[in-house]
Amino acid sequence: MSKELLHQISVCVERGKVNKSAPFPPDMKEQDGADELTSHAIDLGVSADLILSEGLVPGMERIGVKFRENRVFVPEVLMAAKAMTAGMNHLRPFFQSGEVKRKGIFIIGTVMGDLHDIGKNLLGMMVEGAGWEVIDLGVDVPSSKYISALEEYPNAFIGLSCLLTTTMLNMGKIVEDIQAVKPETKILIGGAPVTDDFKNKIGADWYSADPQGAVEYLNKQ
Amino acid sequence: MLTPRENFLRTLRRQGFEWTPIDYWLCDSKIHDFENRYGHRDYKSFFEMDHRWVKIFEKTGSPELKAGIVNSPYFDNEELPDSTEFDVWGIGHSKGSEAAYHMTRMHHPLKGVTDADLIARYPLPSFDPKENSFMINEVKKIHNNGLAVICDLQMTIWEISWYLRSMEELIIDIMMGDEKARIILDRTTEYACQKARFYAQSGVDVLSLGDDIGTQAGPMIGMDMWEEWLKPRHKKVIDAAREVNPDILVFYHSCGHYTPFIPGLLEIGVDILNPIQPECMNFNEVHDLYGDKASFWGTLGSQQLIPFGTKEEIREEVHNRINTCGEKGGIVLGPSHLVEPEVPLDNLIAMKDATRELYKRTI
Ligand code: B12
Repeated sequence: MSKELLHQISVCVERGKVNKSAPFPPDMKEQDGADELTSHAIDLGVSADLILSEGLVPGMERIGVKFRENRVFVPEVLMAAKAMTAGMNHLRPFFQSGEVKRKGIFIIGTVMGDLHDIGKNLLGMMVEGAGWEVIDLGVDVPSSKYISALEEYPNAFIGLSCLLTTTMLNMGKIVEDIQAVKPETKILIGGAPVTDDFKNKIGADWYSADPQGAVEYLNKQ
Repeated sequence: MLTPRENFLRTLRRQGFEWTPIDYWLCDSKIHDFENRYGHRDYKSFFEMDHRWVKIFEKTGSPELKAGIVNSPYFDNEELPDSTEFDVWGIGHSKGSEAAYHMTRMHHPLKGVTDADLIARYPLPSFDPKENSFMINEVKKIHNNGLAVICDLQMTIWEISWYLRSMEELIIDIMMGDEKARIILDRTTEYACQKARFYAQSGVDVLSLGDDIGTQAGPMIGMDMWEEWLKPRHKKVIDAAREVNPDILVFYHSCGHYTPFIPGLLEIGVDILNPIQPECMNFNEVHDLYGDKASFWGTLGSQQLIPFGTKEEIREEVHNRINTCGEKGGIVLGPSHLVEPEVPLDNLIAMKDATRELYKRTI
């Protein structure tokens, strides 16, 4: 019974079915969404841990893979993230009480000089949907801001996003600055002009062209 | 010898050409570099461009919004930085860090608005045809100098709507069937139609439309959404211009990968595809498929080739493009986006020189 329910939750996340009144997706009209089903699962006594790991996370993972394969696009991912958030909201008390633990902390930001944020936001949604806590420093973020966030969350991973060749050059500087203070920090980089070669050149730890790649890397740590 | 305008229009109509036209847009800091080197700012003449861009004068729909009035129902209680300036749409732009150069951060007036009525009443900009009657003379003047005229109607409907509402909320409105999406898109479309008509009446040669529907790795949105929400609205704008001047050429810009949308764009009357970002789309493939129905503009990579390429690499790519297009022409060469601070001026010169090396008469 709970297995079926968890599967339904994952389908709601994958398809972006937020709640009963949401008209999207059209073929799921009038059905319960991630909101109602998560709340129902909690009422039935399903552990918050299971709801996260067997419901919300697999749903986000499936949409992440589809997105990587260009089978769905930004709108579908936004809807999935919205459904995930609707479910996640019911889990907040369990995160606060410590009953459910996140896998770790991921600090993200678009690098200094760059104000593109759509890709960075999607990355944040996907990683959060994979069970991580995401701290979003916003756009145009200088080294000092990443470093002070690291002081607050010393074991966090860092994700740098950049969309412009102009600001790609700043990425190397930021990696250098972070490594000068905390050489053991793992730094992931991405964004339109970034490549694996570039990652090697600036000494970052991981590059991926899509958020799912970052999720896979983080989950292996 | 053809005038630049004749050459420009012939190549865009794929009727043969004498030289391959080029188009550059320099960012402020690059214009500054240019001025330091050459003592003037007229880079368009310096690079012998065959055309000039024109833009009408628009007025904000709300002086209050433009002044950034605090107690408006818009801007979602967002604290706007002191440096925020407002464009005619009431969209806020605040300064980035020094590293951001000319680039600004956008603040969306309709973000967080839940009342559809507020969206229906949101003060859009307007333009007064009388105040813009200079446009006819300006177009004539450029024509008399032998040059072609292209007008700027980019951020036509989709982008301007997302700038007003924020991309995330506009997309969610669309997906949820919320009437707010329809209201914003209909209003921006209606305004774009008015401008398109006016430009056509003023005698411009090319109408440039643009709305980003591509990203580095693939389309930004699915085909269903594009077909239902954007394609018919873009068609309206094109039709509005063509009712006045059936011969006006229509240019469409989208960054990123948008190959799947090309057949639909051609169907609604687009003639010129820009920029065909080569890091995201394969130019030769696109040319093979659509080179007999469309012309191209841009096509040289802003992410690799133009900022970091050697002069030799640039020369080779320029020659490739001109040769791929062949005798009939059908290409205006340029970087796939604005020329950013990291681009060496010498690369632009190398690019232009390379187009002139294959200077030929194919008519
Ligand atoms: C949308 C867009 C904009 C929007 C941005 C809106 C916003 N709030 O972000 C607007 C219109 C405002 C804009 C403005 C500009 N843009 Co722009 N923009 C784009 C466009 C079309 C799509 C970018 C996008 O959002 N994609 C969707 C997201 C989902 O994809 P993504 O960002 O690539 O991120 C994905 C992956 O890269 C990855 N990822 C991203 N970050 C990270 C981080 C990590 C750690 C990992 C693992 C993965 C990862 O995950 C994401 C999801 O898959 C691109 C075209 C392109 N080829 O990418 C141009 C593009 C990036 N822009 C470009 C330019 C030049 C500009 C401007 C400078 C133009 C100007 N002079 O005004 C301004 C400057 C903006 C600024 N102030 O910083 C150029 C850059 C060229 C260059 N030299 O590098 C591009 C490539 C277009 C082109 N024709 O060349 N832009």
